[in-house]
Order: sequence, then C-alpha cells, then structure tokens
Amino acid sequence: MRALFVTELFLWPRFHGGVIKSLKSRQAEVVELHVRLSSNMSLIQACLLDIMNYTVKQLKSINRTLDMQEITTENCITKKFHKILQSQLDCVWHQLSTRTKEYIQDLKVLRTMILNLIHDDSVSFYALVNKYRTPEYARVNSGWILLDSAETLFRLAKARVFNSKNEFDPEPSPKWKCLCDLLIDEIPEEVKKNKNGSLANTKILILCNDNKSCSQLNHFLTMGENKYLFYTAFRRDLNITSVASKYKKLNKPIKSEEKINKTQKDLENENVTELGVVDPHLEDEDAMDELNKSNYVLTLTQMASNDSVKKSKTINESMFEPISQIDNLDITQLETERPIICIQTFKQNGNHFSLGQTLEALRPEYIILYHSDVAAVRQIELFEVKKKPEEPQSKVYFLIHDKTIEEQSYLTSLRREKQAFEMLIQTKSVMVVPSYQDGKTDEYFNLNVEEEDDDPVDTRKAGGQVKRTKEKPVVIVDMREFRSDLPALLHKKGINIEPVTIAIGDYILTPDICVERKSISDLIGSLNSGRLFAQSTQMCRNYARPILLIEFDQTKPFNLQGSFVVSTDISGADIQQKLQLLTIHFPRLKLVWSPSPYATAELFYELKQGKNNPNVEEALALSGENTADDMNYERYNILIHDFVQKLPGVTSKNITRLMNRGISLDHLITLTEEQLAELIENKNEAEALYSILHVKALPTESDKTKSFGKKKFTGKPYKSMK
Amino acid sequence: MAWMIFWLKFVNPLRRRNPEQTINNVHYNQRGNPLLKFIKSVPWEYDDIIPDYEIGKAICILFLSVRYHNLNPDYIHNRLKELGKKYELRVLLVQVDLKDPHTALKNLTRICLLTDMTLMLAWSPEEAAKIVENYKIFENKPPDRIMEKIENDPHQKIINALSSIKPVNKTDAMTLITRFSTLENIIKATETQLAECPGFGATKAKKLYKALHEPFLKRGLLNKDKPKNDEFSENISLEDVEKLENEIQNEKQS
Repeated sequence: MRALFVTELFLWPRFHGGVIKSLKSRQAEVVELHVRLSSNMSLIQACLLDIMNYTVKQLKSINRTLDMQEITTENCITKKFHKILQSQLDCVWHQLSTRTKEYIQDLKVLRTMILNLIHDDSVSFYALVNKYRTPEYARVNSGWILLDSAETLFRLAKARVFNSKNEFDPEPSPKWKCLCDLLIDEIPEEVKKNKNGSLANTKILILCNDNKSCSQLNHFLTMGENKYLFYTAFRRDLNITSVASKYKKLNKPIKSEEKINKTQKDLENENVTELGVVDPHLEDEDAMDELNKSNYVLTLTQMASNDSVKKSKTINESMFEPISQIDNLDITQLETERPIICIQTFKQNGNHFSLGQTLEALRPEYIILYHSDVAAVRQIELFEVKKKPEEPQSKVYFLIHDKTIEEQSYLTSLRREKQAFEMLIQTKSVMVVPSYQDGKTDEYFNLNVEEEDDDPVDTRKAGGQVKRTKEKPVVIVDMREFRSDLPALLHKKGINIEPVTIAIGDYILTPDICVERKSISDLIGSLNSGRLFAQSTQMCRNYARPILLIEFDQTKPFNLQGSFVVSTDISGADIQQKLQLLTIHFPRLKLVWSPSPYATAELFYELKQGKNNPNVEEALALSGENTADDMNYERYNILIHDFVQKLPGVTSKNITRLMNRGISLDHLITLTEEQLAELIENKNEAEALYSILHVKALPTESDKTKSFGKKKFTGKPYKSMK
Repeated sequence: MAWMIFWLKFVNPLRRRNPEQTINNVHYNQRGNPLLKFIKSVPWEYDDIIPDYEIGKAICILFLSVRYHNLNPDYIHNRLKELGKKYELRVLLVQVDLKDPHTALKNLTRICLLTDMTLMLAWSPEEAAKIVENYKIFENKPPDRIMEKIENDPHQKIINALSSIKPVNKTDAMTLITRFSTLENIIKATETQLAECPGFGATKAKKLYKALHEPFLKRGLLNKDKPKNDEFSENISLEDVEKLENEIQNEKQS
C-alpha cells in the first residue's frame, strides 16, 4: 500500500452482505455425488497416510529449530506443497543434513503416490508403486520401505490389478461408473423432463484437474472400461501372464486418431480371441498427445441414443466417439444436432481465466466436476449469475470420493480461503497507516531523501577553490546480488548503486576493497564445493583489501548463530574447521560477521568515508587472468601457476618448490626423471609428472552407474561410510 | 569472571620465541580463562609471548570477550599496538557473551579491518577452545579440503589443466592431445603449429603459446635469483694488481 500511495483499503469477501445478495439472485442447482472408494483403495490410502505421518515426524525431530509449521501431512496433499517447501527451505538448504533432504524427497514420492491413487486407474497406480519396489530404491530412501504399512501397500496395489488366480483383472475406478451413469441415464432423463430442450442440443462440460485425467477420460469413454485398462497395462509394460474371462473377447485397442464408429452389432459379431499388441511407436506419440491436449470433445454414438439399446447395454462398450475436426475449431460453430460433451481442464495452459471464457463460449447446461477445485466453483457461480433470465438453469454435478484426501483437500482449500480473508480483515483493523502515506504532502518525501550536505565554499582556504570535488558515494554491485535486500538498503542510506556483472566479488566499495557476501547456507555450500576457495584466490590476487562478509539470519536469535547447521543430526564443527583453514591460507582475507543487511549497509557507508569511488572500467577489466599491475602479493605468474597446479604429480605441497626452481615449462621438459625427483624431493610425484609430460595419456572408460531417480540435493552425495 | 579483573599487565617481552617448538604457547595473562579448560586435543604451555596464543611461527590469536571490551574499550587498542605487524595470520578471537553485542561487534570489526586482523566469533568457552585447537591442528595442512575435488585420472587432469588457460576449452584440449599426443610436444610446438589445429585461430594460439612459455617466477623476482655478475666479487691478488698497473703504464707510454 505504501508503494502505491494508497491509504484506504476495502475488503469484500464472499460473506460480505452485498456480495451474498447478488450471488443468491441466481444459483445453479448443485448435486453432490459422493462416490465410495473400493475397500482396497481405502486401505491403501490409510497406509500411505500412515507412512507420510511417519516421515513428517522424523523430519521434524531432526530439525527442531526450523519453522516447520507448514509441513504437515495435511499440507503435503495440497497442490502447492512444492511451493511451500521451496519458500521454507531454500534459504537454508545447505544447512540441512542429507537425511533431511532424503525425507523431503520421499515426501514428494509419497505425495505422487497418494494423488495417483485417487485420480488414476488401478493399473497405473500398480505400475507406479512397482517402480519403488526395487533394491536400488531401498538403498537410497530414508526408510519408509521397511515399515509394515509399506508392505501392505505393495500387497494391496497388486491385489487391485491381479485377482487371486494371478489373472489380470483390474479394479475399475469408482468414479467411472458414476460418470457413465450420469452421462447415459441421468442427463437424458433430465432433458426429457425439461420441455424446452432436446437431447440433441445438450451441451455437457466435464472438468478435471490436468491433461492426464482428460485423456484418461477420453480414452475411457471412447474405448470402454476393459479395453482401456488393458491398453494401459501395455502402455506401462506390465507383465501379464493370463487374463480373466471377460478380457478374452477384447478387440485390438483403438488408436486415438481413428474415428471408428463402433456399433453394438459389430462388437457382437467379432469373436476375436487373440490379444492385440499395441504398436510401440504409437505409444510415444500417444504420450505426447496426452500431455499436450487438454480439450476433448465427444458425442454419443448413434446407437446409444436409441432407447432399445439402453436396456441391454453394459458398461464395457464404448458409447462415445470423438468428433472430428475439433482442435482449432471455435466451439460455438459446432453443429448442434448431436449432444456435445466437452472434457477440459480447469486451467488451460496455465490460464486462470480460461474456464470463464469456455463457459461463456460453450454455455453448457450440465457441468460435471470430475475433480474438485474451489476456483472453478467460484467461476461457475459467477457464470450462472451473469446468465440472462431466459436461459435455463445449469445443473452442476460434483463428483467427489467419500472420506478421502480428495474431499479433505477440498475442504482444506475452502478453509484456507476463509482464513485468508479473516486474516486480511484482522490485519486491516490493527494496521497503522501514517497520514502522509498518500503522498499528497511533502512529509513523505522528506523522510526518505538522501542527505545533501553542501559544504559552503570556504574562501579562507586557497582563495575559495574547492579542494576535492564532492562525489556522491558509489558502490559497484554484481547483478546477481539483487536477489537480496542489501542493494536496496544501500541505496536508502544514500549510496548510489552501479549494477554491473563483475567476475570477482559481489560489491566493490573502493578501488582497494572488494566484498564477497555469503549467507550461512551459501557459506556452507561454497566451502564444501571449493567455490569459496577459488573466489578468495581471485579476490586476493586483484584487490588490496578483500573482505568476506558473512551475513547472519536476522530472524534467528543471535546466540544460535554459532551452530551453523539447522538439522540436529549433523554438526557444524566441520564447517568451522573449513572456515579456519580458509583463513590460514588467505591471511589477507578479512572476515566480517554481520547480524543483518541493515548493519552491513551501515558498515559499507563507514568504510567508504574519505576514500575514492571505485572505477567501473577497472572492475570489469579484472577477469582473473592477470594480477593487477601494482599487486605484488603473488610471486608467480598466475596463468602458468594454475596450469602446473592441475598436472598430476603436483600437489599443494610441492608446487612452491616446483615454481621456485623450475624456471619454466620449457626447462621442465628437458629434465630427466631423476632430475625432476631431485627438484621436487619426492620420487612418486616426479614419476607422475614425468610420465604426463612425456608419455601419451589414454582416456579411461568412466563407468558411471546411474543413481536412482533424480536427486535435488547438491554437494557431497550420501555415503554411509566416510 | 574474576580473571577479567585480575588481568596481569605483562612485562616488556623478551621475545623468546622458540621456532622449533610446536606446542601451543599461551600468554601468562590467560591464566584463569575458562577457555583453557576445554583445550584437550593439543598440548600447550605458558610462555612469554606478545599475543595471547601463539601457534607455530605464523599464527597468533588475541582473545577478547565482548563484556570485557565494553568495560575497557582501550584495552584492545593497546594490545594491538604492541602486536604491530608481526605474524602472518593474526586472529582476534571474540567470545560473544552478551545478549546484544552488535555495537561492540561493529566497533571490533572496524578495528580489525584497520589493523589487518582476522575476526573469529565464538559463543562459548568451549567453542573458543575448539577454534584455538583447530588452528593448531590445521596449522600446516594443505587447503585440499576446501578446494574443488579433482579426479585422479591423468588424462582428465591434462584436459582440466589445459582448459584452465582462458581461451582454451575442453574440446580444444582434446584436439591438442589427439594431435600432439604428449604434453612435451604441445609445449615444444611453435605458434604456427598450434594455429594449425582445428578450432584454433591466431589469437587463441598466441595466448596459449604465451601462457605455456611463461616463466614461473615473475620477472622482477627472476633477476634477483640470477647470480649477479659482479666485477668486484672475486678476490684480486696482488700480482694481478701489479699486472694491471703495468699494463696501464705501458699503454700510457705507447
């Protein structure tokens, strides 16, 4: 509000009187359908929640000082979990132990599993769970595989797909039956009741969470349940040895591009006993299509609209077919002789308002919410209210699994919405807004402006000449530093900032002083990786007064700052030692410990007193290749020094001897191995050096075994023994 | 903290520094410092030295507690004045024993920056002791722990070494090795030969040649090491002087 110069804030939440009145004027009819989970599914859900609870508890026990309020089992299931994790943990990422990082990785895995359970079919779930049943994963995970619940989980996942005779007999998803009933029975009944409409003109919109579900529904509706499950099994490379009886009559799986209008008669006539195999080439294409497409349009087949068929149908047959030429067509131009079913995601391509646009364009009479989303509900409400009075009332069907995390997360998001508004209202009531905030008076500007000190020209000194031109203090700041608060605070203090991309250091205060700023987490990360050593070398070679600025976390109590790490299962002694080792090797590097960016800004200001401003061209010219001309600290030419340092046989102990007596590379290659040994005073190292100079080095085969999955953590890989 | 108040003013030091001793040396005025109780892994003894702790020839530590500094702000200035510019690494070990030490710390930071001291913070006597011990342990150790981990494969090492020269990257390094097979040949190659390699232009070859043939020591230092061609360094015998005189006289006459 301060940045916008605004003094008044009006909050109009949903429960505001005016808003309620307007929304209530026209409401859609909502039917909530609570779908029961199969017993296996509820058991699996319980197991997964159990495992998640365990992991969260372990995570919290080794990180007691970290604020882990947001990481609860409840939040793990919400969509924004990775964002929560990022905001809480990224700034201290290097201060966490490897075990913590493993727990976090496992939480993510468990989360995908539980979401997959609810939203995907049993075959995909089984394939996913099997992936984690390998010995490689057991070695890298944090231990949940060993729990009893994990064992139950694997067993039940298999039971859902293979029946007791080990035949392929997967469980259908509970929502599918419900959806089919809706589409085939309920809606036509409704249409009949409604005198104005006819089945041909009906438009139905099915909304789901993501592209994957959309394509799943599309396949399911066009192929029929059994065929789709079978097709999925092939897609996921499942091992199927035998199938249950109802699968013996399956035809070849239909490819998504074919627009075959399968009539019921055709299905009866074909008595195909062979099992089709999906072309592997097609699998990849299908996969890409699935991910990209978010908009499917289907319609009922000819046969389905016949009354006679309805009595003898089974759920296995495909009753729907895709309409050709869908993709870029404007929806309003579609012919309306047939009923249209649109399957879409809540947000197309990340556009939050796409649903509103679709609703306006399509004007569906029936909306089926296959997945639940609060934002979508709100948008449908708005759409309904904006309708003209002659348009029929929409009917919204809400499909939600009963007693599951889906229901739970929906209720949680409703609760968060309410809480967010309450918090806003409460903050507004206790907020202090200074009267000059609207910027209409001069007071605001006076408080923030830099102090201009104009020294009056003293005529007594040298007849009025101004001895030194008063320059505005300037600091050169590296572009990458703008992520932190410090540049803004420097500016506020009255120091001008020059943003440049410099190779050495983060802040250049004077031509002599170069500052490298590190937070505690950065300090640990760069000490471990060797970066800080390289940076210090560069700084010491090019500036007379290099400074390492260690900035503490100002939200933490100061007395805890001595313990560098956050997790309690590792100690910060290692880091302390490394830091001291750094000071031993760079005695010219000064350490500055700052409690907050404000203190740092003050310190910079004081350091610049009476000194010249830094020169931008000079700073840019320092690329680390040569030492500055007046630098006398290095005895050796740095290019050749760095080159020799990397050769085999050269260690930090013998490099000084080598540099002092070696004269140059040209001279070294003329020496024999014995002479080299005499020079270096070590036989083995001389041997290595001699061989590298005179013998051809062959590239060795590097045998890298692939580690399981993708690890987020950087730094040393986890080793059980060090 | 009685030791703060009963701090002995040390007598003008006789500078008895025994370089062969590798034991940690502690100043007499540190007697009573709880820090000493916690130094367990390194041996130490009292000695007559200028700083509070002397570790080897190169490292010294001055100890200060924030509380004491607030009571006697000039104390540290006097100690620093006496210490002067001796020792390569001078550490000011500050024990933070106040809840709000920020003004004192700011002051001390400024002093360190002006007098070339390295500031280390400790939050308890145990931590301070650990710091002193660590300096002793790591006194002569190479910086390998904080450097980048490099593989031991010699082929990889050459590629890394060659890529460290600015204009050369890894593919260029590979080309060089395949073409010249050994490092010796690369070093012996002329600039034109280097420029012939695919991917090498005139500037790159020039920079590489220059880098490879640079002498190790900087130019100014190189001259110092060469034996001076001093005319007067040799001993001249009497006969030689007579000979020279005769020669000059002969020349004068002719």
